[in-house]
Amino acid sequence: MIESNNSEINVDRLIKKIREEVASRQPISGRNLETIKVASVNQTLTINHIENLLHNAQLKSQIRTDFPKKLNRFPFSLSQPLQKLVLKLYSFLFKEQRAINFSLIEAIRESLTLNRKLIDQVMDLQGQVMDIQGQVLNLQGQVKEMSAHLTVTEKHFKEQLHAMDERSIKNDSYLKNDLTQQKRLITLFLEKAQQRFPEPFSPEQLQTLVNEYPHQLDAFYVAFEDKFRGSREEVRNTLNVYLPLIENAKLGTPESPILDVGCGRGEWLELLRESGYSARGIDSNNVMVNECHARCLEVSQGDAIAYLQNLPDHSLGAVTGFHLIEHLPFAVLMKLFDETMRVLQPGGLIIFETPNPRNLFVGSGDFYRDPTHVNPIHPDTIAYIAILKGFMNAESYFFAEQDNRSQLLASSNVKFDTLESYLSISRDFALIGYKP
Amino acid sequence: MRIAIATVQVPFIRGGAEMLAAGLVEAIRQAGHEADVISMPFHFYPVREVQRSMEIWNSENFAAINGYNIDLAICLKFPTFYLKHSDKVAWIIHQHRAVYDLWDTPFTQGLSDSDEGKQLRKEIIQRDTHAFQGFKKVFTIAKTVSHRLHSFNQIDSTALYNPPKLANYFYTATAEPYIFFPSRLETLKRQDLLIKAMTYVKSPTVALLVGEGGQRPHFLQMIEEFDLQQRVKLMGRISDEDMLAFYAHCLGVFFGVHNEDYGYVTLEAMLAAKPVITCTDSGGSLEFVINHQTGLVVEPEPEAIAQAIDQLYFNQKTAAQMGRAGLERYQSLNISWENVVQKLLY
Repeated sequence: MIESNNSEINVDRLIKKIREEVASRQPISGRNLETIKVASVNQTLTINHIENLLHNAQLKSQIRTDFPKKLNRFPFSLSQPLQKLVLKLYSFLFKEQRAINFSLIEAIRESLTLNRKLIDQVMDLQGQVMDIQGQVLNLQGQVKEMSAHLTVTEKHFKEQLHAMDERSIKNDSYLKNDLTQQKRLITLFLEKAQQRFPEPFSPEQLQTLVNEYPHQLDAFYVAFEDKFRGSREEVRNTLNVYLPLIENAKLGTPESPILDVGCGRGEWLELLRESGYSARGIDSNNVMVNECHARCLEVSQGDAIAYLQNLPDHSLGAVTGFHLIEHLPFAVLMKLFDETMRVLQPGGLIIFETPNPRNLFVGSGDFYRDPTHVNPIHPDTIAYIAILKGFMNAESYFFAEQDNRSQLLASSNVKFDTLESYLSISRDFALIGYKP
Repeated sequence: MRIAIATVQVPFIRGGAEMLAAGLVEAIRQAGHEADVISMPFHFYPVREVQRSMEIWNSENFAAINGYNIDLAICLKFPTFYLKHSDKVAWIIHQHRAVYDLWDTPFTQGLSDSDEGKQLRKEIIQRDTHAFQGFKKVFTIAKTVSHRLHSFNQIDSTALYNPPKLANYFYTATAEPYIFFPSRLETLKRQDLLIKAMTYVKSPTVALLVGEGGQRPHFLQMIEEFDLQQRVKLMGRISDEDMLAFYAHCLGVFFGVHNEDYGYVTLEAMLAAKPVITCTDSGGSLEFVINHQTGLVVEPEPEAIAQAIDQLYFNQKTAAQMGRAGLERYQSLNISWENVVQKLLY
C-alpha cells in the first residue's frame, strides 16, 4: 500500500518485496488448468462443411431423369429416344449402388448428429472445468486472505502478550522482591539463632543482622524507581546522549572498562553492551542486582566506595553514576571523587548525572519526592569540586532537545535571567570531566 | 487444412515477429489443422540482395511442395507477398519500411539519395500493390500498418490484433509507488525520456526498467549524471513470473516509444489492469489508450511525462480506475488467438 507521507522509497527493498511475492506464487509452468480448451467454434464450422458435402452427395446419388444439358445440343439432340433407353439401363444397373449410397449417407448423418452431441457435452464439461477453475481461484484468494488475517491477529496477540508481560512484571516484582528479601532476613536470623542456641546472639552475629537491615527497603526502592524514574525505554533514550563521549574518548575496551556506580536496573550497562563496550556495574540494592543478573549484566552487589577502594590504580577507562550522587552524604561524595581519580587511567572519563535544582520544579519540590535523596547538588558546586579534585575540562551540562534528540548544553552558556529560563531548563544535569 | 505461414528472418534475432509466427502456428494446430512456418533469410542491403530476395519469393510456388498440397498460404512479411498460391491471405506485420514510412528519414539516407534506391522503391510499391490485389483477404497486425498500406498502396485492410504471450497469466495487485517500463534498451524505445522525466517528478515514485539492449551503458551513464541511482533501476532481463508480478504491482506503465507498429506492452499493462502513460507520437499504443480513461497520452517531453506520473501518484484511486477501464477495454476488443485463426482461415 502506498503511504503518501512516506517521502523516501527504498528501491531495492521494493524490488525485493515483489520478488518475494513471486516466490510465494505458483510458477507458470505448473498451472495446467488453463490449457484445457476445445476449439469448438471451428468444429461447428467443420461440421457445416461436412453437411454440405453430404447434401451434394445426396443430390448426385438420386435417380437421373435426364442427361447433362450440354448433350441436348446438336448432334446429340437427335438421339433422344436412345438417351431415354440409356438412362433406364443406367438406373437399373446402379440401383443397388444407389441403395448403398443412401444407407452410407444416412449412417454418416447419424454419426454427425452423435458427433454434435459429443461436442455439446465437451462444451458442457469445459464450462464445468472453468467453473471449478473459478472456484479454485476463489478459494486460493480466500486462503490468502485468511492467512493474512491470521498474521495480523498473531501480531496483535504477541503485542498484547508482551504488554501484559511488562505489566505483570511491574506489578508482581515488588511483591516477589519484598517477599524474597523478608525470607532472606528470617532465614539468616533463624540460622544465627540455631548456631547459638540456647545462648543469646554474639556481637558479630548481631552485626551481620544489623548490616542486613538496610536491605529491608530494597524492594520498595525498586518499585519506587519504576514509578518515578521512568520506564526502561525512556531511561535508555535519555542515556543515548552520552554514547558519543565514550566513542570520542576511545574507552570501553577490555583494557579500559567502564564502571557504572549505582547501576540500578542496568539500562546504561545494557546500552553499552549493545554498542560493543566493555562495562560492569555495582549497586547496593539486592533486588536491582538480581534484575541485572537476570539480564546477564556483570554487576556486583556492595558499597560503591568500598568497591572502588579495592580496585588497583589506573584500572578503569571511565566511572559513571546516574542519579547516585544526590544519595550520598557530602563526605562520601568527596571520597567518591578521590577514589575515582585514583582508579582512572589518564584521559579517563567521569559522568555523574543528578537532578537539576536550578529547574524550578525540581528545586522547589520534585527533588524531595525521593525519601532517600540527601541534598540537591548545584551544577556549579559539583563542577567546582571536580576541578578542585584535579579533573580536567570538568563542567556541568544541561540537556537541550534538538530535532527530537537530546543534546548536551554547557551550563556556562546558559543564562538564568528570566523566570522562563528556570522553568524550561532540563530537569537533570550531568557533570562531565576527564583525568589529566 | 494444411496451412503454410510464410515469413523471412534475420537469423539469431528473435523479436515480436518471430513470437507472432510461433503463436500463430500453435493456435492453428490447436484448432485442429496442420501448420508450419516457412522462412528464408533476408538481407536489408545492398539493393540487389533485396531484389534477389523478391525474385526468390516470386518464383516460389506454394500450391504443392514435394507432393504435399498446401490449402492456404498466410504471408507475414515482405517479400513473401509475392509467392504463388491460389489461396493467399496476408497478415502484414510490416511492409518494407525503408521504402515506405522510413523513406527520406535519417534511417534510410543512403538509400533515399541513390538512383537505385529510388528505382527499388518504385518497384516495391508497384509489386506490393499488385500482389495485395491478388490476396483473398488482407489483414495487418495494427491500424498503424493498415493506415500505411492505405496511403501508399491504396489497399484496404483490417487490423487483426493478437494477444501477448502470457495473456492468460496476468493478474493485478495493490499498487506500489513505481512506474514500470519493460522494453529492449534501444534509442527508438526512448527509455531516456523516462529517465529525464524522473528528474522532474515531485512524488516519491521510482522507475523500474526491464530489458537488455545496446543503449544500456548510455542509460546507466544518464542515471549517474542526474544522480537518480535511488529513483531509476535498470533491472536487466527477468523471468516471466517476475514480469507478471512487476506488472501487477506497478502504479502505472510507461510506454513512450517512437512510432511503434503494435506494442505488446500496452496490452500487457491493460491485462494487469494498470494505466498506461504513452506519447502522442508512440504509434500503436494510441489505438488502445484512451486519454484520461485508460491512461494518459502526453507530449514526448520529460516535464509532461513527469506530470503524468505525479498525477497517477497523487490520484491513486483514479489511477486504479483507469487500470480497470483498460482491462475492460482489452476484454471488449476480443483479442485472442481463436479470433485470429477464425478470421484468417474462414
